Amino acid sequence: MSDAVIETQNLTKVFTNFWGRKKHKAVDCLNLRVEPGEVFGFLGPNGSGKTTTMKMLLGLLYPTSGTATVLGKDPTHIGTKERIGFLPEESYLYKFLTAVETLDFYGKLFGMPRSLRKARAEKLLDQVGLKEAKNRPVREYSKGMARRVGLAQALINDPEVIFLDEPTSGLDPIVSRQVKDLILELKRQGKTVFMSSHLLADIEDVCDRVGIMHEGQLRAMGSLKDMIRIPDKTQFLVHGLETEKRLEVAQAIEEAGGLLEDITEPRRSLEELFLSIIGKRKEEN
Amino acid sequence: MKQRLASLALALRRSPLGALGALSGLTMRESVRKKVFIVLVVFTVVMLGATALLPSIRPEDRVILIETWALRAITFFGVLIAVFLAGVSLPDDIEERRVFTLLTKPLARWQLLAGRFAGFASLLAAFALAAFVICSVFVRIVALGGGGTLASRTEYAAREVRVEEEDGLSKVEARSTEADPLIGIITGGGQTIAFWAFRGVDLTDLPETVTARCTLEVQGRAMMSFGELEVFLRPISHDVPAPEAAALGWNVRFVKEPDPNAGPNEPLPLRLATRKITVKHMIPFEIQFPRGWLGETGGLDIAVKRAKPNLTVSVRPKSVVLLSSPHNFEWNFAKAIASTYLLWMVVLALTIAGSTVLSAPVNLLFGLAVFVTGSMVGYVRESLPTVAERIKVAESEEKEADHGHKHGGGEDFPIPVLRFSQFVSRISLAAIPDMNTFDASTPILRGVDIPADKIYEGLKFALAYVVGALLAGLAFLRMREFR
Repeated sequence: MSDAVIETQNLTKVFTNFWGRKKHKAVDCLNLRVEPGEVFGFLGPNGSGKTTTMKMLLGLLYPTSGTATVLGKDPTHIGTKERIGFLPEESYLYKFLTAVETLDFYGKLFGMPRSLRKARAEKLLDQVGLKEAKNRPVREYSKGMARRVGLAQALINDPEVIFLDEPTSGLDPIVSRQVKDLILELKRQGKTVFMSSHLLADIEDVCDRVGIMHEGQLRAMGSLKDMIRIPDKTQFLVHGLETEKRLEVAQAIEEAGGLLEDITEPRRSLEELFLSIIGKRKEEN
Repeated sequence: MKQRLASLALALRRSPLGALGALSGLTMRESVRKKVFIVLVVFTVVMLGATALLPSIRPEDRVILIETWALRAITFFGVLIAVFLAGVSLPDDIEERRVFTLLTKPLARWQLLAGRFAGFASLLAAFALAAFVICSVFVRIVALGGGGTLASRTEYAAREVRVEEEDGLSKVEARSTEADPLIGIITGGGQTIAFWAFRGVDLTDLPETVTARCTLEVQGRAMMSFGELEVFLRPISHDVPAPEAAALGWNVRFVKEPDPNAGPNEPLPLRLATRKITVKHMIPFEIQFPRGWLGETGGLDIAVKRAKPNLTVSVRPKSVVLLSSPHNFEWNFAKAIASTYLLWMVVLALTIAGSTVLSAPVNLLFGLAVFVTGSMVGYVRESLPTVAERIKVAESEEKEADHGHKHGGGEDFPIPVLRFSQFVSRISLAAIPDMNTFDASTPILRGVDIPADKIYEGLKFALAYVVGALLAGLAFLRMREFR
């Protein structure tokens, strides 16, 4: 087994009040392992402990007990931070800076030379579709645009591991699709992505493995394909079958010992429909 | 060479200083984008312009008034930056959650704190420079228009006060007090004088005609009469040329007439140069005398005597000083701005440290409280000897009462209350930075040089507070979690 990119052992976080009295156990004995190059989805309803876990993995919160390592080191280690990127739940940016200046500032924190900062900023802004608006102050951006700047800043250092907290929340379907495509592109580049979301469709679209949190505990974890597969059922997708022939197929299934539950026409997701309409309109223009 | 510079720049960028530079640059850019800097510069210009409306006692005082006014305005604006901008920068980053993005970059917490401090210190340095240039130019223009002379001079303070009979031989009912060694209380016989002794004055920096500027606190029982004092100069040198003195308005006389039978080797009796001046409480007056009166060793006594012998008068020299030749105005004003800058650094470090643990509104109050209480802490220091004296008196009265003597009843407060007050005062003095350490407006107002020692003392004081405050802030920030 290769070295885990992210690993936690009995990771626990208890929030206390001002007087040190226990208030709330946000994460309870979490054992997690994320392998290199995978897209890991961290699922759970609001308040289940996803963001708290992520903040402990980023060194913003300290564990009450247990350990967490990122790239084999403590999350608070500066060397770890050189190799990671983080997109918070909302893009918290300096509103007086332009997108280019924002990326330049964060690039400076990595000690990147000017030429490299410039090149990375140009490439990333192009990638997130902000090339035209790159010199406008962030305060003039829509939420979606600000989110894209946030994503670009998370990638400024070409990180090995990217933490994404609700990456598509509040985005329209087009931007949301772009973000998901970008995640898949990162995966193709061999990056490790750790994303939390409560939008199940997003997780389903991009993740290799998922962990499901509830009330601070990891309730399930595994390969997405394996987890959502219904083991004793079979689905055929058939193209060009005439209606009268369906009955024959159904009979054949029953003769083979199968129990046919339903015959329906497959449907596109609403996202696919929306994107195809908008895409067509764009082509016409 | 170029390659070396490039590799040095790269090394700097990758060192912890690179991140500090990035944060400092961000702070500067923010203040420019939000027009903070330009607004402050405009305010400074407007404040200087407003000095045209200032009434001044004499036209030649106008320049000094402008300098003082400008310095106080600049100090105030700088404190506003240190409190209202610096004090909310970190809480804003935390409350608006930008700190999530910052601290997940290779930026240590100490760098976040130091970077913010360095950013505002740079902003204040830029403001100090701009304010210095604007004020110097403005003051020069006013001076050209006849608003006074541009000069600052070194002060030589009196070393001691003595009270004695006019003949200098006997000490009568007059004293200087232990708590205030420069006070002279004149009572008793009519010929009693209080004088302030100058010794070891460096003669090289004094002009041919020396100016002594005196400001006296004068208190007497007959309030209407306390201003009538006669001023004396008692030169160490016996060689006092009477015509030269007369030209400056002095009357030179012997304390005792010389003995015509005295031998040639016997010293001449003491001579005095006298002049009647109506001294008003706390209003400065100047006297001139020839440099020769200071003798070779640089010694002189300046004395006062009551106009009405039967009054008890306490005379405290707020300042009795000799002034050197005029010096460069800009250099002195630069020292004043430098001293003010140190004050800003103390307020800045404390508010930045406070911002690691306090919310923005609470931190604003904290910053303002530091500045205001720090400006008043001098009064507490001045009151401490009085409190100690009162405790001493109350204790002796209590002892007397224990021995069956009559109770004095002079003290209004019980001893424990006085002791508690003393304790609180001492704690306050230890905890609150004394902003008067950096006050350069008083010398500016008096047209005298700011001593280099004052800047050095201020620097040591500021360094101690800045380092202490930033270390405390870092300790809080390291413990802090960001939810």
